[in-house]
Amino acid sequence: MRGVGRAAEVLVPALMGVTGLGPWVVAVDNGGQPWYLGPALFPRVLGLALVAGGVWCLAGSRARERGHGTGVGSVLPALLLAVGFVAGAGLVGRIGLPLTAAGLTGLAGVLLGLTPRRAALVAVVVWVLGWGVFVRLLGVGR
Amino acid sequence: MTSFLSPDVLVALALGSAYGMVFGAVPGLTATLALALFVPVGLFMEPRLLLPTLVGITAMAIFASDIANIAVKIPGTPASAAYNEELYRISRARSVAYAMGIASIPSAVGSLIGVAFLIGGSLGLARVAKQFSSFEVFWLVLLGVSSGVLAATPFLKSLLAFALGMLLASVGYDPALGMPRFTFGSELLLGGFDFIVALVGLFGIGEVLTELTGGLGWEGEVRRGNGARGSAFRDYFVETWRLMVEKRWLVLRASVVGLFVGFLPGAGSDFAAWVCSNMERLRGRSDEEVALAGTTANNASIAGDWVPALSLGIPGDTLTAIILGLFISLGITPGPALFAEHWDWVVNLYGAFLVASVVFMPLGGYWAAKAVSWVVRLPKRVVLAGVVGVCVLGVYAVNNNPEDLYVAAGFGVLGWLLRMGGFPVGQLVLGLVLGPLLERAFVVSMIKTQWDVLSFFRRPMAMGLAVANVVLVGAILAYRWGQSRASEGRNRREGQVAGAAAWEREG
Repeated sequence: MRGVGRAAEVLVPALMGVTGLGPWVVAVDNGGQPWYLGPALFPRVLGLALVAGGVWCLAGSRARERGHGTGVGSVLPALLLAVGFVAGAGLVGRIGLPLTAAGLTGLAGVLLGLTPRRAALVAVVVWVLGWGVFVRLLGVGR
Repeated sequence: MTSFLSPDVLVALALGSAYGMVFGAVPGLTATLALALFVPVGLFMEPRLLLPTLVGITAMAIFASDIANIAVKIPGTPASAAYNEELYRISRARSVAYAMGIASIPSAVGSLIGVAFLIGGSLGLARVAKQFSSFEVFWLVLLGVSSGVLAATPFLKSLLAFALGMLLASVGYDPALGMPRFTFGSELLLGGFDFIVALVGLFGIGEVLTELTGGLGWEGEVRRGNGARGSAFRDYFVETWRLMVEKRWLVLRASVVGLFVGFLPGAGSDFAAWVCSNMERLRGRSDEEVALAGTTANNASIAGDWVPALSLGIPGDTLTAIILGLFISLGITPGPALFAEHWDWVVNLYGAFLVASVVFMPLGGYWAAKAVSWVVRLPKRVVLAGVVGVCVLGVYAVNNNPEDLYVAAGFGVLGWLLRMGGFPVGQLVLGLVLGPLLERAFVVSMIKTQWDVLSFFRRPMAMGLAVANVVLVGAILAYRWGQSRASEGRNRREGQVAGAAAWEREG
């Protein structure tokens, strides 16, 4: 956990800094106006704040005592679940909303350490909720 | 003339309330979705029954968004994200019934105070709100932003999270000129990121991902449900009332601020809840006080939303826009004519607000406390696995669009990284909510005056709000400086005492 937290303390400001460069690099249609008089104004000011703040945070985190510890390996289940969500977007059209939700519930259950039987039971409850309330009653995903 | 206490009106109100409560309680289902799905039914209803049903749906759906907040820490609306952490902590430290009491009874009181104003001075108050142009709105939103950013700790991380939220909110059509920004040719990004999808991602999926990395320690967490029947009743009604009587000025202040923010077009309950809870947070108040201010303002603004809608025909937010659309389809013209020609309908509407606030909200909250109490007794891993399923269903239900799952996953990973890096996730939501409001008010004002920045100081009300901003920022900075000096002094004294003790031991 400490290892993950330490990595995130460096990674998040770095990502913020890179994101902050985006509004300066990506062109925005400003309706023929200079950037400071149109839709690019706010994103660029925010981008600058993110770059400056990100660098400041990174400098601060480098100066602090470096934390040690394990836990970076525990990132894998989290990444697997995030990938599951991304795959779920493609699955909804093929197997339907309730089954996709149930499948991801089962995956999350197993990753969280539930026994396969318990994970399957929770997945069935989610499938019933999805089919009964969302699909049949509300007409979602039809 | 039909009384709002007649059985058919009460049944319509009860059914509307139950329907709204279900939508508010499930993450991803919103008051807007509830109303949109109700429109085809509403077109066939008599106005005297339709109005109370609409009141039941809107009032209960907004209040019920706190139910998921307490059960699984996912705010149902951007407004309930304003006090998400505090309400959840109360449910852990005290009991679910007490947290639910703070979520529902102040909501009812806020709504009731809002109704009193609605009855007392709809037209007069709406005229004051009409004085607000983009200049005043800019200063008012800036007040919300300053209080929000400066209230959170650590300051730099809070500022960065806010800036990132605001930058993410800039994706899609820009709020003033309608130019597409950062869409990379994708139709999905043209409308920007949906608030609800972002909230479910940040708080629902982000929470599960954090738990998977061992970040939350949910497994070791013990939460009190409702306990015995007597203790649930005491926590829910008696203790909450005791707190509210003790903090009566806070409740009144939050109600008035919430009501006034509700008047302002485009501001709504989200802004009201953030401003009021941030003000308490800033003053270092307890979790109870922060949540109390947020829940009260949240529901007071619902009544406030109805004021310009009824008296002037101007919608304050999406909900009142749908309601006005429904009115016009049924041949009801909002505005002064409504008061003159259909006074009985207006009385029914006020009465429905009163009954919903006094009866349905407290009772609904009590039943919800019992249901949530059952949920929190389940093993935490089972609850978290279920949260994943509900997130998938809720995210898809928002727009019936599978691509929203990508957005939710992206926000989930972002929420997870922010938590791991010690960044406040709530400030990112604040940026998402207030960012577009601030930008629209600023750019519209600048276009109106051909980029004359001094125009922000020319109108008396704008000038007053600008001064209020300067005073607020100055007061916050002075307060925080004082706090850090006191903390440094304390650390120095403790160091001296420890040093002296060590010297004595060595001597």
